[in-house]
Amino acid sequence: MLGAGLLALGLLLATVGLYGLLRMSDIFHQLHAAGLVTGPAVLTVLLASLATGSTGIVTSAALVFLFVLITAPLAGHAIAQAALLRAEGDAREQAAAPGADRLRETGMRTLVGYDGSETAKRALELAARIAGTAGDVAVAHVAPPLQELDFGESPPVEDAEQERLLAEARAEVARTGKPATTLRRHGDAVEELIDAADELEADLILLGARGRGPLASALLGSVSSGVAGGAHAPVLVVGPDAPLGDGPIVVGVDGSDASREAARVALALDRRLELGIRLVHGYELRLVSGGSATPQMRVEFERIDQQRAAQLLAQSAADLDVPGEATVAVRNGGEAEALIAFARNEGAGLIVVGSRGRGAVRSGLLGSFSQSILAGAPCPVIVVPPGARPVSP
Amino acid sequence: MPDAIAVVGAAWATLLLLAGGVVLLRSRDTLHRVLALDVLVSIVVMLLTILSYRRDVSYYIDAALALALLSFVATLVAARHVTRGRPF
Repeated sequence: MLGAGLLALGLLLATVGLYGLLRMSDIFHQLHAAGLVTGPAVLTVLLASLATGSTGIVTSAALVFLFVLITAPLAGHAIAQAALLRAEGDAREQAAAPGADRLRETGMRTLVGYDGSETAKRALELAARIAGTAGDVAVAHVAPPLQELDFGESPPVEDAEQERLLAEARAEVARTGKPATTLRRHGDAVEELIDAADELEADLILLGARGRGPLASALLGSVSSGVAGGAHAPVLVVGPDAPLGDGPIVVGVDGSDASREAARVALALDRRLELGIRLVHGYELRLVSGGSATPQMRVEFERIDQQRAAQLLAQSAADLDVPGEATVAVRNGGEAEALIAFARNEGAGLIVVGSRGRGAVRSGLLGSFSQSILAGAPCPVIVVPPGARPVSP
Repeated sequence: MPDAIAVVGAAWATLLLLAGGVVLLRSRDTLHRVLALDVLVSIVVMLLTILSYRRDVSYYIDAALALALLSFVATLVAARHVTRGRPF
């Protein structure tokens, strides 16, 4: 019984460790998970030898036990040290990289998905503000699919509800002094909206979130996160408790192409909205397993993390021609939490993040960065997909 | 140890070996690969140990010891090689 229990425990530890290895990508995070497999998991399985009652097996297992006990932390330490030295080298190289290109002044073509809700009305208002005098506002309403009726040559059915909502949207936009074009669509909301945006070559899609909460959206699917995940243009989502603030535009920067694209979109928007811009880099505290890190290494990790964050921000600021004072590094739980907390404290007007484009399956399994921002943000959020159409003049 | 438990344990360890293979395939650079191989060896050590419980002979564990020894030296050398460009 004892043997079976120890065996199961060892394999469970190994499973947890491997899950961590698959889930995390940073080498320092992975070391922590790997330490679980190479150390405790193996040792526990070896301990199970006590239950076999065979002297030969117990002796051999005891030898391996001792050997692993000594070598597992040493091997982990060697890898950690190598990763550390390499990270220092990379940080030096990054500091010397070139950069710089600028955005044009633009009038934006915006598409609003309208469903009559309060958040959708706010999305209309924001669309008119963002489009400015040179841009246009298009409003799309997606009704449920028309039923196929077998009456031969029937005239196209007028959808009264759709007409009413679109007229309402037109009136709403007209109050800001801009005409709005309207689009009538039938079918699946996510597909139709993405399709309509492609057809219009929209620079920005605006949506009101219905605020179903995490469970309901996971079960029923959320239109806003669906569009944000699949569109080819940046998607702005106005949340249910996300008022239009006058605070700065907060851009999540992590050095990826997606975040660079997000920063470009944010700058183009800032030319119109003039809210001011903040480049924010949220970073996580590294976890290094106790066996393989000395206290000096921890201090060193922290210093390198800070240095890396500062360099990344300086680089982004230089690339985007933003003054260095507009950059902030925050560390507060995970990346998404840090960004949300910062936006809340600053009373941000808008959060702009790049979508890493993991695809439906992987983000379902691994969680999506942009989705956690969408769920927790105190203000409207723009998700910029990878390879978004450049904001056109 | 009951035979059924040893068989289930060995099957599970084999699945973990596959997962370790995925980690290895997904690794982006040398250090990730070194880490993945280190983990793979640990899983093989576990698998050999379970096998020796099932067959009730000790020499599978001796093989595991040899493997662990090789892997330890290889990990140290590879980690040094990444940073210094030479093994020692």
